[in-house]
Amino acid sequence: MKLFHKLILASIIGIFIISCGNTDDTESSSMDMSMDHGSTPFKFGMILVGPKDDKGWSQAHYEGGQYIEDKLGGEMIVADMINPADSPNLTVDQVISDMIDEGAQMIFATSDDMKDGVLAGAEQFPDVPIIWASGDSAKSDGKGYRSDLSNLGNIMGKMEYGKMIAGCAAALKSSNGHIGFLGPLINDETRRLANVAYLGASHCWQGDGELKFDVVWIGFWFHIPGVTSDPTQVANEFFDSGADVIISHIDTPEGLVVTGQRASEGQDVYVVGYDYEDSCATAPDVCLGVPYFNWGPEYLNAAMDVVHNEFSSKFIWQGPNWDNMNDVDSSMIGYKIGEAMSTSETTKLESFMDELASGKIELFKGPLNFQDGTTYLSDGKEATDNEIWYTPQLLEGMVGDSQ
Amino acid sequence: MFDFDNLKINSIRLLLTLFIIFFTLILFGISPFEVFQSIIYGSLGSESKFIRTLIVWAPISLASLALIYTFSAGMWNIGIEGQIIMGAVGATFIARSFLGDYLISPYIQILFAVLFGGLWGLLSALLKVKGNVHEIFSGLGLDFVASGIVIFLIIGPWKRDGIASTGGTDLFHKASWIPTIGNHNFPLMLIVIILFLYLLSYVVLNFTSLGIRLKSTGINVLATERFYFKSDRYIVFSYLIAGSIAGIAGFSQASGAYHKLVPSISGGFGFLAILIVLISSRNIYFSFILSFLFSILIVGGSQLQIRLGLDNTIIGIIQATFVLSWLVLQRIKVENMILQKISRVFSK
Amino acid sequence: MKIQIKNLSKSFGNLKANKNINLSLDSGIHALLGENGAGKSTFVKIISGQLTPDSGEIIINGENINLGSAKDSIKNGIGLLNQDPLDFSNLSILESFLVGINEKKPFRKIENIKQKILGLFKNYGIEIELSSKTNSLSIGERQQIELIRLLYNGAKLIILDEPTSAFSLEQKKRVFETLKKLSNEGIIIIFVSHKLDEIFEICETGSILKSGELIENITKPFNSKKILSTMFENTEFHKSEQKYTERVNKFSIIISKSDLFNDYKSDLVHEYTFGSVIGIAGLQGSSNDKLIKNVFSNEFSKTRIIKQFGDPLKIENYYYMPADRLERGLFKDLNLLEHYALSISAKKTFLDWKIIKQTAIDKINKFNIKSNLNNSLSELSGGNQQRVMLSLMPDLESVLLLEQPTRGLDYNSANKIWEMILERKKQDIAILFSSTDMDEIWEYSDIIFSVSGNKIMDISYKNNLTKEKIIKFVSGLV
Repeated sequence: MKLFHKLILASIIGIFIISCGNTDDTESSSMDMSMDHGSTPFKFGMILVGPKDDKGWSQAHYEGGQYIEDKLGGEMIVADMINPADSPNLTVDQVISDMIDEGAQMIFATSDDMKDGVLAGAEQFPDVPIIWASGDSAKSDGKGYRSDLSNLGNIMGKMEYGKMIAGCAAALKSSNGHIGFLGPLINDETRRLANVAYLGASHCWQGDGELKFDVVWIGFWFHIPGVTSDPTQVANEFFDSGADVIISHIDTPEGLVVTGQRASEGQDVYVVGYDYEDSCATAPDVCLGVPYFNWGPEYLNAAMDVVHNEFSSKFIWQGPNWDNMNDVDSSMIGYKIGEAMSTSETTKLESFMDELASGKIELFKGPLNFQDGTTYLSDGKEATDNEIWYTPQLLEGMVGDSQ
Repeated sequence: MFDFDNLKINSIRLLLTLFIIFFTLILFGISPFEVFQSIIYGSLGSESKFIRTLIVWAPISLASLALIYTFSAGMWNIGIEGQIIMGAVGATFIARSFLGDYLISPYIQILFAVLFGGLWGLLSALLKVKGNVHEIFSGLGLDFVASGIVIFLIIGPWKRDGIASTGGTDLFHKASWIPTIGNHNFPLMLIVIILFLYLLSYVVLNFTSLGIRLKSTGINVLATERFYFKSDRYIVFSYLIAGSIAGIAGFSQASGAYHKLVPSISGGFGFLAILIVLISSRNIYFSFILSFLFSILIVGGSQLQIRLGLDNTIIGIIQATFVLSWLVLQRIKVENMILQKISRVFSK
Repeated sequence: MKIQIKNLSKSFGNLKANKNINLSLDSGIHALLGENGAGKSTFVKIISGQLTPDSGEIIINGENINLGSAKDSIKNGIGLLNQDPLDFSNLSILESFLVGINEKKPFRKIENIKQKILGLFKNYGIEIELSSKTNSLSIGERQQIELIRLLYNGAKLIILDEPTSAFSLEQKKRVFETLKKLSNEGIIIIFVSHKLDEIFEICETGSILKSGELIENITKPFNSKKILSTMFENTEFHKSEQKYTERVNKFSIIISKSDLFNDYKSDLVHEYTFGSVIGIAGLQGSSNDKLIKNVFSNEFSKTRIIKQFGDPLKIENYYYMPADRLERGLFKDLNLLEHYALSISAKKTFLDWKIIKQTAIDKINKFNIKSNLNNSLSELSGGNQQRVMLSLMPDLESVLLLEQPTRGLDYNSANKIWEMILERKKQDIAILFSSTDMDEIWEYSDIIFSVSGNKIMDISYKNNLTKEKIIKFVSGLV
């Protein structure tokens, strides 16, 4: 029993030494911070729907936050995996309130799925500017407009262009004209982007026969076991049913992984990534490219407004900088051409991009019909912003659920 | 009725488990003091945080209470998750109906939550009693079926207009939210229900023949006939009661925590409650207290990332370490030894 | 083969299970007789190596064998056939052979093994497909196959521990034929049984054990009278001096035809006066306990008791006390107080702990139970548990159904229990009890049912019986 006593004593001492040591460290580091940035350093909260290193949507936002830290200084408070499956019992408005408790002066909420919590949080903290990415609460002619929430702004990129390019790249590469669109959940935004991918693809499809464009929705932005369909399985089913190119539209890289595996088994299959600049790195040999978001510049603008006390509720729907789509400091939407594109295909794709930039190609122009045969745009008519933003159905020629 | 020796032993065990958790955290290079301070602040530091803890505590404590009944009758009610989920479905059904816009809605929601949860529990019981299916298998199966039903409802009949997302249904009309008082939305109704149910269960389990018959059913089904009752009936009772209470936990999740139906509406609280009831050896006081401790851990833990920049899986580590070391300590009975040591020191 | 057993002794605590047993065998079928607790099982377990004796030796063919090693016993050719066949019910016969045979070599030629088994089957007239599943066979067939397996493994001495308790007549005949054939081929067989008729049928020699001692060796021709009187030699009982007044009301027992395959006077209604003690006599393994249980639960039979006048009996009028106290009678993790709560509160919703506590204290005193109210039942001694079961008898006019009420109790405890039971003669309708102890039956019963195997052999008033007659009935000798 002597030994037992000694063990207890030793453990108590051990705990004190180690934990005291730790506390000291963190205190001194936070002191450094405050000396660098004055007495009230700029703090902002970043609420991510998935993991901050998901090589997709959430990581792109996270890096947008890092861009603010780089350019403006300040400190980002991150809460990732804020969705009902990964963080049950934690709602977005609670996270917002926690972040404000921690001194956050502005909040970025980065998923359309966070709608309920964002609106509740914005109501609860009217003095704290909140950016809800991909939302429509500040779109004054929009369906979800909330004029009462002057602290809530929206930022979204015109991914339409990115997805048109993605669709075009897929069609250029496809040998049989059968493309699978790996979709997340169904809403205005995802229908819109599925449609433009189809428009891009049908524009660039030069092979024989009709273009086949299958859309399958898994049910959420990423795989939640037992809740959503498994994107790995869906991707495999696309290939099994004869598709040779997948356009991934989910937050995570399952589509690229599966395509990489199929290719290593000798199949001639390709994939277009989404969301995040480096997503091709998962399967570089089969990656046709990736349309991605570059949240940094717009997030920085919003943060500057807050710092300068000039924040106002704005609906920002920013397109690419056509002069240099991949410029981190100016272009909201980028497109990285993948290694799997041949030189001739790249040339064709680049000319498509040029024509998009110059306005020579206008894909949102009638005649376009919806899946159920009703008219979307009559002959020669160009779509209005609202007609694009609120897309009620998939287009004629696409296979998949609209609702 | 209160057992003070038991309390002493449990207190020592709690201290020991805390020690072990401290060590584990240190192994991960994390300061346990910072973590615990942050957890306490994050869960009890302000009125709104305290209320958030209550909202988490409500389903956990109810699920634990439900499980005390089934464990008493010797049943491993793994189906508790499904019963919570179906309770939430019952509540959502009312919240989405024409009744959802009236202030009476939460009260009718409770009725339906009890009904749905109770029936779901009854299914497990009937499979056990009539079909001779082991309750663990039927429970697991019914859990899957229940979450399947919820997902079907969310992306099917109850989906948001123009949206098919597993993110959840539309928010309930405010009238269908659990009634609250004060600026910080203190869920008075819920707390009253929980306290009432705990008090009632205390009486039922200790002062009624139902209570003692449940307990004896759990110990020896073969001997019950001799005392003129059928164990099967009491197994069914225990499931009906457990399912009903779990249903209220589901109501609390839907109308108190989320104000909508989401796929993982049970939050895993059913499984957590199984651990709590195991740890507390079916003791109603300890379940009450432990479920509160766990909700502190959960609510405080969810802010570790925001406050300390720690990965929030750390809270899983704390929980797992707690449960494991508690159960191991319970097994090796080291507390008695320490208690003797202490009393010897003091008697000198 | 010759086996000599010298001075074998074994104690469990104070109980001397085997005392200086000497036995020498070299051929034939040898019976091992004795009442319950005489030490037969201990003896068998020692020989088969499952128990280590305190002293003594076993010599086979002049060589001492290692005691307490089952492996050594098998190596030396000793095989034990259990009461229940120990095989794998969902394997085929061949498969369960492959698992159970004693082969050293890691690689075996299944074809060879098969041939060897078939040879043995042929030799002993067994006609069963090797590929048939074990669970499709009758218990008799399975026991036969077990015998073959023992032979395959080289058994020269086979012990059968009450092998026939689950057999039908036809099965019994078949196994007996196999045994006789084995014996003719020089294999020694030790046959442990209660049933004299069986022993008379196949055994040539025998030994009688009593209280751990081998008190007599017998040879054919057997004298059944002498054997019985040796086996059940009187232990003096204290006779209860209490006189009980005859009561006038009558009840009847209607024995269901389906009960115990009974064809004994099944259509008759048996009528007795209130307060009668009905003893159901039977040897271990007979269905005397089942008869008691069947009166309580209507699940398996319609045997029931009817009062001549007054209200029909309700379930609450029966008090059933099973033989296995902790398995079916009590709740081992419930404390004493809670047991009384369970029993008193049968029809009430709320428990009044004050009243329950008072009743419990009264009962504990009355029944002389040495325990705290807070002790859980598993902490009590067997005698105390038995007294607790008795103390839980309802106060109202009842039919007591007692399975072996003094099982496992020492002489004194048993006597006290009986005093408590007989006390109830004044108030109760009927007291039914089962026992394997013929002295107990004789001592306390007014009416005696004799059960052998699954059959009721006789129902008589004690006045019309002798103890010897009962013993004959229960041994199946009528």
